[in-house]
Amino acid sequence: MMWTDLPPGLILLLGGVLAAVLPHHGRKVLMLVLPFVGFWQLIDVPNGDHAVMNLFGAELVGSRIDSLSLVWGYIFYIAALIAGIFHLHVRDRMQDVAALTYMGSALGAIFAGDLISLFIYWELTAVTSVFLIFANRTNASFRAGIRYLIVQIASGVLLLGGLIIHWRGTGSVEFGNIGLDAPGGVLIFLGFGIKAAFPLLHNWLQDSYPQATVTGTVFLSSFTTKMAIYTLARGFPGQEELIWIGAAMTAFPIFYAVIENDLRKVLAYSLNNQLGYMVVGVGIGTDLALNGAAAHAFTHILYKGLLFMSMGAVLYRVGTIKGSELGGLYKSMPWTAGFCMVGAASISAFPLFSGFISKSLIITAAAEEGYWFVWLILLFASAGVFHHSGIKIPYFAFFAWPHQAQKTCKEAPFNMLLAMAIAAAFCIGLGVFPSYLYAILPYQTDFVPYTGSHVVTQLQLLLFSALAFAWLMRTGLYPPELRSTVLDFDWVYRRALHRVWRATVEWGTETSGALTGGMRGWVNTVIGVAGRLGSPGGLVSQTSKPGTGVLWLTAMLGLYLLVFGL
Amino acid sequence: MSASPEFREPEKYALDRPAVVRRIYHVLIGVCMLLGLADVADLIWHVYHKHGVYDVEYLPNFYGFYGLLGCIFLVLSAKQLRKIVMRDEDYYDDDVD
Repeated sequence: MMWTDLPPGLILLLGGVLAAVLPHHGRKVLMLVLPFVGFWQLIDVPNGDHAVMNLFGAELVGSRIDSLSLVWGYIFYIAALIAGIFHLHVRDRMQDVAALTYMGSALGAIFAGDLISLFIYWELTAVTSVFLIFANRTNASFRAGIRYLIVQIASGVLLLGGLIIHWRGTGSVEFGNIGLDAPGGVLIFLGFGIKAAFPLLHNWLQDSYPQATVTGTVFLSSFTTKMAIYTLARGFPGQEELIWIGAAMTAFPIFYAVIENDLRKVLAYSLNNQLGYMVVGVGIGTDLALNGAAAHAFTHILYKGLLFMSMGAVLYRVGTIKGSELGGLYKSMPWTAGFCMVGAASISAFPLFSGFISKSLIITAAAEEGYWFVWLILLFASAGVFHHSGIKIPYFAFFAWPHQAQKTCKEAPFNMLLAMAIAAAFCIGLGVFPSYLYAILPYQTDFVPYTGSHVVTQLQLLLFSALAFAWLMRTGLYPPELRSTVLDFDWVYRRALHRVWRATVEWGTETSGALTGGMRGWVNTVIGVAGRLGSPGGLVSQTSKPGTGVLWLTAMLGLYLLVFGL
Repeated sequence: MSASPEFREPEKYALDRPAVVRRIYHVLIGVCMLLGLADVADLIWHVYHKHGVYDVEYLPNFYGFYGLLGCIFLVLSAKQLRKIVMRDEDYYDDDVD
């Protein structure tokens, strides 16, 4: 009974609280064992609403286990285990506690059956995960963490506002299909949209993830944004606006990914692009498309985690992750290079790799539902993602021939390699045997990814993209990696608003003096005029005839009657 | 970070030889040509039964040309984007420790 009614998120959350007092080895045991315990609970407990209680007339559902939440639950526990192994060598209580409580909160949000529980977990993911950024203990990471926190909390405030309006408007806090037209729907949608990194609400992602620790980014990349995709799939399936928002998300980040020098930031942009596919899938809202969004979230967590792990390993060994300073590392880190290329092939959706069997569900759904323009954008973005994640990341980190002063270093530590190997095995395993993933999707599917047509057309798209890269490289047209800062939307709040504020203060200081003087002038003028009018011989106090005064009085009374009579 | 990187002349691997890289490039061109020809062959003999939703998909090597031109457009326009959005590495002074 207790086991059934235990909200799934609490397993890792309470583990995180326990980790705060345990020694190093105890904390590591928790990080490796608890994902198995949680996974076992998901298998053991029957589908349905558990941990139901009433609070001030609102029905709270702590644990709603159904076919949609289970997909996210399974992959979150797999990701928790892999990231935990990758993180095994780190001796830092702050990061251990932050990671466990963060993952627990994200799982809690997935299984929350009402908006109030969702809100609590939603905010918890923000305040716990920020410590994975602070843990880098640099000035830059501290400031990036604060910016991250402000944006994440803003998302929670929008959710809270929407939830209150929704509750008052409908009398229910159930977290089901909300839709934009429901009371509070728009606020809830925007709250979800921030964490899902909608265009213009996206920049917290690229700003903060590259500032987190080597292992912290691996945790971060798996949970927050995919939790947001889940809430969109739960609350706004088939919301047509999402199709266009998602299409924009797939397209614009890839331009930035081409010119960005920080390779973890390149991955953050491509993460944004991958979220776009899922958002399109949710927006189309057919069984095939929603299956595609769920399947893509599942495979994406694995290959994106793998890519972040490989870049984390490079950062750990070399001390930098700037494309302009890397190259030739396949000699020093052959295993890491190999795993990175498995992740690259998966995100690029090569046949036999995991991205192929999930992304094709969404692209097929877009084409079949007649969104030809979106379909063209998704194809373009597919070529683009191969270009920057599939080629640029491995090329500039591990190859980039010829390169002056190639760095040599040791291969990544064993625990990092093991974590990457597990993720890579999943990437290939799911790509070769997609039926295992299709079996757990929310809707029945008879989709066949491996047809001659799918395979040949996808290979055409990808290999001709590779040809474009090779040709641009050999002709010298490809823009070199440069040490630089690339301005994105965060410039608006990091610089433009800052400048507007400073200018306003300066202008205000100057003008407040003038204003005070001006106001005094006006007051003096009014007093002066009134005095002159009322003074003996003035217009008001003239005593021409008594009748005039009575006439005025009558007129005023009449006006009063008119006004109040109406 | 753990081991401090050192700068030294690394061993020569096959990929360090320009001839090998050129060979890879040529193989890639060859594979692309075969993939393009597969579409022509499919038009005539229905080799792999291409199926699509839109008519444009039945143009020989539509996906290949779309990927090729898409990527060239992507890279060249991103290069232009640099002129607008690229700044010095220490542009945000609060990023510097």
